[in-house]
Amino acid sequence: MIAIGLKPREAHGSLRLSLSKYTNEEEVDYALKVIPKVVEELRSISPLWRKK
Amino acid sequence: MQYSKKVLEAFKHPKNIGEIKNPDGLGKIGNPVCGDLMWIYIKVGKNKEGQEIIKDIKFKTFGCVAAIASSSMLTELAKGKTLKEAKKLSNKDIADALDKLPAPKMHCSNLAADGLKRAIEDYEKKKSLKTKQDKK
Repeated sequence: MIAIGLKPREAHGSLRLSLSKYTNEEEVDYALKVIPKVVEELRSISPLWRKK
Repeated sequence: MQYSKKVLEAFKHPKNIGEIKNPDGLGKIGNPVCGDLMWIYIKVGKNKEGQEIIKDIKFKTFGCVAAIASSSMLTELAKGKTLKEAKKLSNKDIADALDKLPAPKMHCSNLAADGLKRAIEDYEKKKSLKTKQDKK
């Protein structure tokens, strides 16, 4: 993450998702269903996140 | 070593999240380069014996599961304690209350214990400045 030019706080706050030929649409839908909620929760307790 | 049930519970449902407006003390600790950052807010009151106590405590944390669980447990342990007792809270107290942390994550509990110490120091510094000003 640092190597692709992100700042430390961005790198530590990043999530890398990898897909393979075995990943199906259902799994993608599931990830999209659960991840945004978790991200929102973690942002809400982070001192670095400010609502825009 | 896996995370204990208590660590996971504290991470999923952390207590005392947020900020205190005009806190009596604020302890900022850690840095985003190492990956963990904690802000501990305290409000100081007095108990029946007239001793200063942590009346309210809140936190905001950017970090891993153990960092969030440690900050939550710290606030639970510190709330209501006298400042003297709260200063003595150690990383071991926090880790024990969480049914232990994996060894590479012990620094998270250190961070939480030191964050509270900083918040109390901040309060005491402000208080001594105020006392000096009042005397003038």
